[in-house]
Amino acid sequence: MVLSNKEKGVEIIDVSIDGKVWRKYEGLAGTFACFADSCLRMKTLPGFYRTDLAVAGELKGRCLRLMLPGKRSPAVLREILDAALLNIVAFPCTVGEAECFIEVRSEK
Amino acid sequence: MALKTAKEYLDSINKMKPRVYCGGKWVKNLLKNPVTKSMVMANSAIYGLAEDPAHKEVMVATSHLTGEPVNRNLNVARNIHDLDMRQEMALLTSQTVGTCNYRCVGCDALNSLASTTWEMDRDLGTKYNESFNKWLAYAQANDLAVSGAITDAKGDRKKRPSQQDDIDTYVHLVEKRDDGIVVRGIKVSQSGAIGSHETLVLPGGSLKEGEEKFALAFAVQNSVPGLSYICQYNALSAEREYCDNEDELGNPLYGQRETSTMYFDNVFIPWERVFLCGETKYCGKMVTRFAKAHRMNCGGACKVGFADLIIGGTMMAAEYIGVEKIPHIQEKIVDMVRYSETSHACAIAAAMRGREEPKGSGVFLPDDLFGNAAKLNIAHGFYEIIKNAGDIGGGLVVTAPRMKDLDDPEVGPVLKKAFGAAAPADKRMKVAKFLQHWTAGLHGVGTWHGAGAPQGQRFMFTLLTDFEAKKKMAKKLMGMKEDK
Repeated sequence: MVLSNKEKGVEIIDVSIDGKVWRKYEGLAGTFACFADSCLRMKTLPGFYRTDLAVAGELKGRCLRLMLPGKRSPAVLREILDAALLNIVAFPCTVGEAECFIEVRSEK
Repeated sequence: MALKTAKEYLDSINKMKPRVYCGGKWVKNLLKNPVTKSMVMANSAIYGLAEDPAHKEVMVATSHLTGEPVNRNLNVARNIHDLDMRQEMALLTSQTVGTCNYRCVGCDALNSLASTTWEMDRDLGTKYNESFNKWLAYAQANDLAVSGAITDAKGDRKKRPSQQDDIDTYVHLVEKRDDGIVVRGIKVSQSGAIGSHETLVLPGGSLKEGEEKFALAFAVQNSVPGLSYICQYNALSAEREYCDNEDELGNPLYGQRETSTMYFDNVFIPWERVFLCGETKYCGKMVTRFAKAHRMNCGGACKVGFADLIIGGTMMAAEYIGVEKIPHIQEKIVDMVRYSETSHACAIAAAMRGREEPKGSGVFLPDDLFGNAAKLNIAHGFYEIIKNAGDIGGGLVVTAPRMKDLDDPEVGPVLKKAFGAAAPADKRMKVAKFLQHWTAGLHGVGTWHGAGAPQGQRFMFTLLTDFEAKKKMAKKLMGMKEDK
């Protein structure tokens, strides 16, 4: 029997970098809320607390739009997001329908 | 993935960036700081044990949630065999790393949570057990390193949590939101959180009505913003940090026991990770169930594994100076075995007399009395064991020069002359450093306080022992009539 994400207690997060869908991550349900709180209230990414990486963002429903300071290439943004999501104990996955979305851009 | 290899664990931790302060600086990479690295390497060795077919029975269990093989550190005991293998795991891990299995407290915390959240859902209609099981299935599926944090800083012990001048001395609720809670406060003496993926936080003790804001249990990711770790730092930390060869140290790879003070500075915890929030009545049960599991494992098995290592080192020290056949030496070594094996016997008894608690939960917890006996016995016995190790090991245990000095062209030959006996000087000095680690290190006080100071076990003895029944037996045998 295949369980739904809700039944399993997980959530899938789609991550887009510079407008392009990059990768899905699976975390325990609540991971997206935790990530959003980190970015919006604490102004930082998980794993980057009290470093110079202050982020700005807005939350619309289940979509979190983030702007990272400094001019950073998509490759660097991917590296940062991967570290941030791993630090909140979410892991890359290939299957499952996303119910949360993170869109990341670098400062122009 | 159900079981991580040691390498996979190391790779995953290498990417984690918890905010860790150790010996005057912030640690950017746990594997590049000698002190924090020893903790991570010990955890890695624990993962490695589960890969070894010889240890599968002890280290690998079957998840009651998914039927998949899982690391026993993430298993909920469902029968007597599980309890027995749990205490055997504590023995094996200590024998292997000579320091904490840093997943141990998390394991005992999750067993307490499995039991207590089930009871709360039954009694109160909450959904904590459902959330806990989902969290556990996720932790098992990803074979997460989970540590446990129980002890609050506590402040002035004469005062209740809410009476403290600074209530941050207890982890407490700051805000309840639709999506979760915000917590702040301090947990102390926490083993191994820095190298774990997550920590289970339980209340530090029983709480009363009116203390709801301190009644919290939750799982937190270890690099979440707002959470910082201030590592213990002592002479052994400095020695490790500044020595140019770790082989000089008593436990070269895995070190002493690494703990930290965890500071929660308004940390957000989503509801899915909250397993108790405000239900003061259940805090005592949660802590007591944790303690009964941990006293069996920490007291009756983990420290017995340490004792095995100390006894081995002491035997070598005796052989290296040619006193191993002297009767009083043999007697002292037998005493060391007696203290140690008596505690292990108590742990085995605690497992064998374990039972489902509460009935219907499917969760098995060890027998309280025997678990407490295991811990109380080793708290005292461990000091006797290290006393005898120091006695037999001799003054060299605390007076040995550096191992490296043996290679110095001028002093090396003198040291070889001075410390060569029935074995060469390098072997004697190596064993002396090993015994120094145990006799002049952190483990005496660590054993005394780990899983609760002995006064706690004595209190449990008075609570659990039926003294009236014993008096009745004695009276009956004496032919004395019962008082009216």
